[in-house]
Amino acid sequence: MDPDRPTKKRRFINGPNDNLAPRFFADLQDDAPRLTLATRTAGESTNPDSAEVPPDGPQPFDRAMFEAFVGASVPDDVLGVIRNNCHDDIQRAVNMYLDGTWKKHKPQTPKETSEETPHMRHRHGSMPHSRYIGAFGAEGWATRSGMNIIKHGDVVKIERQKTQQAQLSTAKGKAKLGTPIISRPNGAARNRVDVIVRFCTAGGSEIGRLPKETSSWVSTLMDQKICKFEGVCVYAPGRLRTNDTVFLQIRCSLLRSAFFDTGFRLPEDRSAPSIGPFESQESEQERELRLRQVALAKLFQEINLIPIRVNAKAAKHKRQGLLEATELEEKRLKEERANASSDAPSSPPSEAEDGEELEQNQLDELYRKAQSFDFDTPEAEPADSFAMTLRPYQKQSLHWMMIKEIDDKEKQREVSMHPLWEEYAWPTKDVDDEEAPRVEGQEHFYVNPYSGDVSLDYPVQEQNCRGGILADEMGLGKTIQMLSLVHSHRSPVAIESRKRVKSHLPRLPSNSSAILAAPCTTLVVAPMSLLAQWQSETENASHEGTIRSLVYYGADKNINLQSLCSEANAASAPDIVITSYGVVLSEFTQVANSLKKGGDREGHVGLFSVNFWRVILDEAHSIKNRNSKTAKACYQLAAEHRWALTGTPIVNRLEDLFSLVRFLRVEPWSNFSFWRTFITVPFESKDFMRALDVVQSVLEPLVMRRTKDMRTPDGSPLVALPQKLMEVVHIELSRAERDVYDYIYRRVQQSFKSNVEAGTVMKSYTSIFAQILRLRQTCDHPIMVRNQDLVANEEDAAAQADAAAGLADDMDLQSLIDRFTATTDEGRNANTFGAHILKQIRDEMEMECPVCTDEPMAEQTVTGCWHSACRECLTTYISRQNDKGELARCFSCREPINMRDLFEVVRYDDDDDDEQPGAKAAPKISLQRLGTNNSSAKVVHLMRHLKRLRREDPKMKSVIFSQFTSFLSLLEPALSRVGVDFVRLDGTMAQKTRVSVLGAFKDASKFTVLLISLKAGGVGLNLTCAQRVFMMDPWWSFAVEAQAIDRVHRMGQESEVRVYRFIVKDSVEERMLKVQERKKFIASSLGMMSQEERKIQTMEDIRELLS
Amino acid sequence: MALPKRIVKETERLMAEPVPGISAVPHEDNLRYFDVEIHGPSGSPYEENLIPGGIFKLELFLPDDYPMTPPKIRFLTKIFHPNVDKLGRICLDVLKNNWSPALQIRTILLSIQALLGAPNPDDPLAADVAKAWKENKEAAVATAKEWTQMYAVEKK
Repeated sequence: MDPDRPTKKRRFINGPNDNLAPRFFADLQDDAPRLTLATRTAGESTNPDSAEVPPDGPQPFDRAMFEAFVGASVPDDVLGVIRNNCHDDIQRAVNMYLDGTWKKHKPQTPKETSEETPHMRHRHGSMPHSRYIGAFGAEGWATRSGMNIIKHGDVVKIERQKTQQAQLSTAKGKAKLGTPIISRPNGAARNRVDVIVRFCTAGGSEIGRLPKETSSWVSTLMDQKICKFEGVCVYAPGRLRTNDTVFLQIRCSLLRSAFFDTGFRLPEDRSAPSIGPFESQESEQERELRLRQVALAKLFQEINLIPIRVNAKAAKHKRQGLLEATELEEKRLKEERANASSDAPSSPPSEAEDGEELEQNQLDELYRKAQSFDFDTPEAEPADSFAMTLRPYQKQSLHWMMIKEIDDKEKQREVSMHPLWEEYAWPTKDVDDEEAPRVEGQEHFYVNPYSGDVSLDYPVQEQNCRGGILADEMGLGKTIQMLSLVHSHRSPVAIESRKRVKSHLPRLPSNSSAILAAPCTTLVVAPMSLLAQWQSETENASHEGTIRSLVYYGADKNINLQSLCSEANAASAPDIVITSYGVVLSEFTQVANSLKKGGDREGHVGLFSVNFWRVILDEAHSIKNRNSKTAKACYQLAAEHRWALTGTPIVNRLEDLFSLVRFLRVEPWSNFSFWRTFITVPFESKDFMRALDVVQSVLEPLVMRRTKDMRTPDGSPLVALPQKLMEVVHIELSRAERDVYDYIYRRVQQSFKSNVEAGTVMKSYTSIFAQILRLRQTCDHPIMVRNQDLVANEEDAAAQADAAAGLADDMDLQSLIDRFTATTDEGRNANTFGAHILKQIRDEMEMECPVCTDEPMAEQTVTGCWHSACRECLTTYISRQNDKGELARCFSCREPINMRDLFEVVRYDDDDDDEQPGAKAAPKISLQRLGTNNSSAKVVHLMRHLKRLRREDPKMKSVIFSQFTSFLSLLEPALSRVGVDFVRLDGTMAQKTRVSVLGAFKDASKFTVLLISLKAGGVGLNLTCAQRVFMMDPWWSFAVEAQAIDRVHRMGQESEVRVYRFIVKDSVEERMLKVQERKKFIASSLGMMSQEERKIQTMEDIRELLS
Repeated sequence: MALPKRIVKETERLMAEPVPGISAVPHEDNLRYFDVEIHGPSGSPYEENLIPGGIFKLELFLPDDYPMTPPKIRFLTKIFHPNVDKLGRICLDVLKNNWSPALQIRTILLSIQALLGAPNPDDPLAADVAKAWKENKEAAVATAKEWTQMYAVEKK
């Protein structure tokens, strides 16, 4: 930078981004509020050594002053905590001390201070108040006119002028609440930030202001007390007029406070869970951080300061990327604001998931890369207490996991620079080529461009992550592998306590307000439906007495986890605590609320009161949305080792992975700004390869993933699962059903068409979907369309849609349904026959069918004249006769017969089979009228299937999935009629009930069916005791169905699995299969109704469905 | 087309427990096609006083939708009978309207054998034979014997 020739503006801003800053900041300044203005010198106000502290600014922290205030000498450690958390504000520090809030900061600080602060503290002494780092030129403009106000070589002061109002109210808010809550100005005020920077004579009178593009970032650096600026006039007209240009050279020095004041701006303020629920506060913080990042980046660009060392991984395009990222964010905010003003009640931004969705092929590619599993990985043997045998690949992952947990402590000694930081040399000469003052032992300083932190100390790479992601595909035994880790790597305390005789009594910890170490305990967080499974697997995997497990849920929650798991209690502490995401969230909210009310976590003795030895998130994709409260709650769980289990680390956005990484606390990636810069931004600007490469480099050390179809080098499959046979069963609707279906179909088609014509497709999106839902329900059972009791809580939208489509009180439809009901005859039972008839029929039961000679008859059916044959033989015969126009007569006695007079023989023969193998008691039977239809075509088909299955394999267990719980309700009576035992699991059930249902199903010794809703049974469950799967209705994405099927076809399954997918011919279901094949996932767009593009794509699918 | 279980079963049973006076053997290349021999029932003009008695050859074919439709069957041996025409076709209700899938090859052949024992000129297929039978039963029976001697008895 050449200060002598400041004629061209071009020279004042270097680099390729010179057009960014003005655009970026322009709108910030435009509508700055003109409130009460007070001028103060930012640089001076923060100087702890300065004698002239302005009375209105927050007073910096000083031990002597602090002790004088509180009237007692304060121990060093307490002082340290307060110092780190008071944000250099003595008033706040005093409040903190007096009301006890400092205690809640305490637990975390030991870790953080040991890693970050101590070295910083040591060096602050030698750091002067400020230190020169460089100079740049700026074109100020005069706000005064007159002669000889300023001339070349004059020194000018650079000052900030700020709206004082907001500052004051903030201070008050803090004082009153006594907690570090920053009262947030309302949205509008927040956006109108004043960035004016003045330059004044040495005497303090204003000469002019810095140009917007400069002041925008200079003001940030001054406000956030990072830099001090001094100006020298390079050129000014002798006769100055308002708006004249004044060329200045501005020297910039980093303030000591910038190095000191780190705690507050740490991007991940992990120490305070109170941050979580306050979305607004966090975003305020994030915004400040963003400004700071940009300001620093601009500064270094202006003064042309280049790092002498950067992390190789992050080297290129770093600063540019950062600016781009920030600009992008700013744009998004602007758009949001614009949206918010145009239609007032818009959804809160935190609800929307950000980041673009991944295309399927990109996802495949990513997984393919992440799956390059090395089969030469060494194996580890599980501890003796582990009761199961691991497969080779599981031993490999055990080895890997133990390395991850144990090794990093040694690695920590390796001193490599933290990847986020850059090293800079203090300039030895200033802009005028004069020697800059040196400080002994301080040649370098360090900047973290992502957090805007600066440091004097070498930033050591923190090995924060002591865990990883076990992303094996479903069914490879993630649970077992984790359990083997629990057995094989225990904390030293745990090992010690096991050796000792359990003689000493557990002591209660003295201070229950802190987070205590729970060195023996692994916390497992899993979806509610899996709690029981975790518990039973834990028991199965452990030799008796080697592992104590505890389910922390519901009424069982009424315990003091803190004392139970404490080190003092190590001998009897549970080894595994199993809880649900819901519990984590509710306790988190509880703690946060009590903190919000000004209390502290005193009295909280639950999940957030202990530092676990290990935390495991099962089905960790539950926290894929980093803005969800559950995710935030999980981030706050304290543990030595952190693991995430999921078969799908990325569901459909790269940001899904971020949330896991953040949970694992992997530096540097858990910094969202960093993540955005290197992954989101390149990805959104279509630089896919770069983004995916980076993701891969993140995943590689972190993720262990194997898939079921992987093969070992010798070509054998990783896990030899028994075969799975899939069969699509095409169902033909009965006439009556077809009528109902066609009727609704025409209505839906009509309403879709008229919507298309009227251009209101997008508006009636929900209603169209609801109508399609009706169609799909009709395929299951026409009665579902209407029966209010059954459909009651299924889809509220559907009822509205019915009204819209005129289906609600449509007499035609009603009569069609009535006609269907009339043919079904579900209610009546034809069991009014004489005992001798029944006996005769029963005797014939084992005989061969007179028609096909099958023995015994398949679904024995009797005519009105009591002659038996297979159901199918009989019905085929009758319909043949009818087709020929002849009167059907009994094959045996030639009595006229007809379809309505056929009775199916229902046998209850699966009871007592085992108990009396010798004495074959005659089975009980009853007769069931065989109408043209028993129920809906699907139900009839299913029953037929089940009965055949029962005959072939009287002990078989089957799982029946439907997405409609109301359909499950219809299946129940049908199953009872044919005498098939069933149990049912759906989303409405309490955890305890689910456990007993699954237990009953597992323990059943005879032919049993599990009715289960797709939503409740999609994830996690282990249903390997069944070998048949019936999918009653298709879902939009096959992936969801596949997940459900894999509940049965997973590790532990020992026999061949057969899957029957029931699809109604010539119906919306058949077309759904086509949509599935095209891999278009309407499902994902269903949750994202606001996104126009996806809607349009979905509309295309609907068009196809209704074509 | 695979052979239905029922046909297999029937064939096996015909072999294992043959009906006296009746034999039915499937062709090796077409298991739906049977060569049938029926002995004239005793006391009938197709057996009476003949040693050995008349043995009538028939062919029997099981259509694809058997047993929903009756088997197709006809005499190969010439026979003088009011219910059998000169092409060998048989007029028998169970082979037509009164067919029931519960009937089998065995039962049908027994019915035919019975028909030989009890000709029914009131429901004729061969009108001339029926007429002769009605007008002069003795002469007709004699012709029947003659034909049996001529066509249905193996010459030594």
